[in-house]
Amino acid sequence: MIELRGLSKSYDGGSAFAVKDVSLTVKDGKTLVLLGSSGSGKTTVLKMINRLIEPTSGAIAVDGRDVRSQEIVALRRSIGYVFQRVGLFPHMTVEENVAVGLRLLNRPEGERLERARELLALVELPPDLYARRYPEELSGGQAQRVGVARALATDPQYLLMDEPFGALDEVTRSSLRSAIKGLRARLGKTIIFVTHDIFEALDLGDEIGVMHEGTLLQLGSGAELIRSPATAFVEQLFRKPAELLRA
Amino acid sequence: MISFLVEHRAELWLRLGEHVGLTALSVGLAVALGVPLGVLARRRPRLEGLVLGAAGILQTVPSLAMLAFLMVLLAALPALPLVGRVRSIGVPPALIALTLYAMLPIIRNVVAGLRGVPEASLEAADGLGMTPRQRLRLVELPLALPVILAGVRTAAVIGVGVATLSAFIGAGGLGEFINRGLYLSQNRLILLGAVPAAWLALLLDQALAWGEAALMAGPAASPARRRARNAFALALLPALAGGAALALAPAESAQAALAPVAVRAAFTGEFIERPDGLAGLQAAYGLRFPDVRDMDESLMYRALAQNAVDVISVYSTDGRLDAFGVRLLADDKGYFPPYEAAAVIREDALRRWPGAPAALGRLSGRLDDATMRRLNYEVDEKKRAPEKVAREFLESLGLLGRAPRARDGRPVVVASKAFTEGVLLGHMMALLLESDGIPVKRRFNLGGTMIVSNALKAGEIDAYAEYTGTALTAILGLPSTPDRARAFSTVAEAYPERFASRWLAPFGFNNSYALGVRAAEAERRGWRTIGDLKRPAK
Repeated sequence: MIELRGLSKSYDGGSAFAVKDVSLTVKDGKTLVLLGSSGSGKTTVLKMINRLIEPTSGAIAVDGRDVRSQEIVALRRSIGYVFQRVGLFPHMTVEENVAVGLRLLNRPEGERLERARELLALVELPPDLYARRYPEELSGGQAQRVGVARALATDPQYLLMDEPFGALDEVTRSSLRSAIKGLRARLGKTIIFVTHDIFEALDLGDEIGVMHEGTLLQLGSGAELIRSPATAFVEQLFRKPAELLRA
Repeated sequence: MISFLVEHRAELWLRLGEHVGLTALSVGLAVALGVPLGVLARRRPRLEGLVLGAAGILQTVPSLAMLAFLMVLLAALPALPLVGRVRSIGVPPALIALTLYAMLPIIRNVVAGLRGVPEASLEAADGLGMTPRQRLRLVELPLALPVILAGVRTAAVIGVGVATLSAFIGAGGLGEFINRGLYLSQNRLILLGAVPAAWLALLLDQALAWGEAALMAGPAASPARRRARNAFALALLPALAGGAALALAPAESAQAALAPVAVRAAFTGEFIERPDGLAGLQAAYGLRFPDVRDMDESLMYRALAQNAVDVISVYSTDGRLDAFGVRLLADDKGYFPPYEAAAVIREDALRRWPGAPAALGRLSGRLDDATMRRLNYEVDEKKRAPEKVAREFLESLGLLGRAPRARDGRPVVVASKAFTEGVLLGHMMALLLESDGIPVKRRFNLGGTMIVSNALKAGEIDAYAEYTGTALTAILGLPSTPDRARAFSTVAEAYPERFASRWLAPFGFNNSYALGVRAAEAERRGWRTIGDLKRPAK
């Protein structure tokens, strides 16, 4: 379980807030989608969870333990993170990239490579074809699949995904979405997924948190948000899917 | 040319080995120091300016000044734990200087390389839970490697160039040949040092480029390439180690039959190479200097005074002899030929200006050894202008008239070699001619013996001060003689035909080569003559 309580982040000592007073809870095995336009603070929230950014105020607990009381490296290793810019290491092969988290834990090489092949198969990249390639030989969608596999390498209970499909075309996105859904069903991970795409949010989220200008406007299931939007902004946002649903 | 190469073959290999060793060792040290410094500088932005600034300033210090400064510094250093006293001449200061020069390109490229690591990779490294050390080792350094290696290449090429200068302080290397060649104006010797050095720089650059390609992981890292990578790493280490061993190993001497003396010697490149220099001296006295350094004259006195060497080659009228407390060893076997200085002047200049011999002749016999030493001291140690010193001396003897207006006509071109005494004599000759109304054009500091004597032969200069012994052996290639009068008459007879020039009567002093030792050491070990050096150390 991940709990955020009154989380705020200001870069200028409190006159403007990138994130303001966000509280929410993600239950084990569930997927929360943070939905918002760029600059809404959703990525900042995500980065505060594994302390890539330190909050100005408020608290975060993972499994009931305050993240600030945890050793930062151990915390990050216990949470899988998929980056918007993918961030594969260009000097490592695909399998080395996937297994890098295990290398940090000093696992033997045999075990690392075996696990890498297993994970590549899981994200639907045949290991025989892709394991020895370098990142620059991959398409955008393939690279992001490797990114997902890398986040899963140490088998973390939590997965933070920061607009992982942002730069991809619609066909690739939908195929990756179904891959994620498959993984979730099989692995039972707890996921926080950041996106600006409302259909992606509706497709993946058990719950959706709508963010705007640093605040969490509304939190609820897709159906709830469509049915009873709390603000005009949320209503505006969900008008199109609502129309589609009615049609 | 072939026989010249064969003759120098053994030494060429030795010097090449020393050169490679010095360069490799210093670049290795610069990597070992520069990479951590670069990483630190990148981590701490405030440190970055400081480190790069300091390395940049070091880079602008002229190489010879840096070597001289390090010599003084190391000599002043007390004995260190573990290493003991660091020698103030030879390999240690050269190694330190070369390392300092190599640091800037390495530090700069480490910083630039680290700065070029993509932000996305850094974020991913942090997000995956790498410690700062893991991030550096697994991500930052590998990604910065191409830029860092480019810096190492730059450093190595610069190193090969600067290493030629370390011969000035007796650290060996190809600069030995260049040094000696410059002193003697022997182009072959200069080339023997310069060509292999240039070739070495190119080769090293190419080898490192090849190594760089082999080390680069990437999509094209085929199995063949991986093998090349391993082979390169395997080949590089022994090559570096071998070079370093060569640089530190003592030089072998061919003259093992002669009795080695237990003294450390520093001689000028000219003395080592000249036929009337070291080789003849060793044969004449039946001794051998096992520890000889090739050193610039300007550094030699200090090295002797600081107890870094025990014996140096000097000129007997050098002004620094008294200042540094140097005792001259008597040449009891009469090995060193007489070096009486006299004015040499072209005959066509004499035809134009028949009064010239009379004007210059006023100085004949007026300069003895002590006087010349004193005048040299005024310039070398008191840093006074040679022209002033020359004029004062001539005036004190009442040799300068009221300097009438120069008459019209082609002037006499008075030249000098590039050292204090030669310049002083040149000024005196010029002033004497002018005081008789003969127009003079000055071309001083022309270079070594060969340059000046060739210029005389070609008629580019008309007059300069030469030494009988030098003319006899180095210019005319005749055997030397201990007999002053015979030396003078021999050159005086040869010059009209060979150089269309005439020798005037000698100035009076005999600036012979001599071996100098510390006066206190000479007292303690009972050294009076060169032969005394053979006595075992107590």
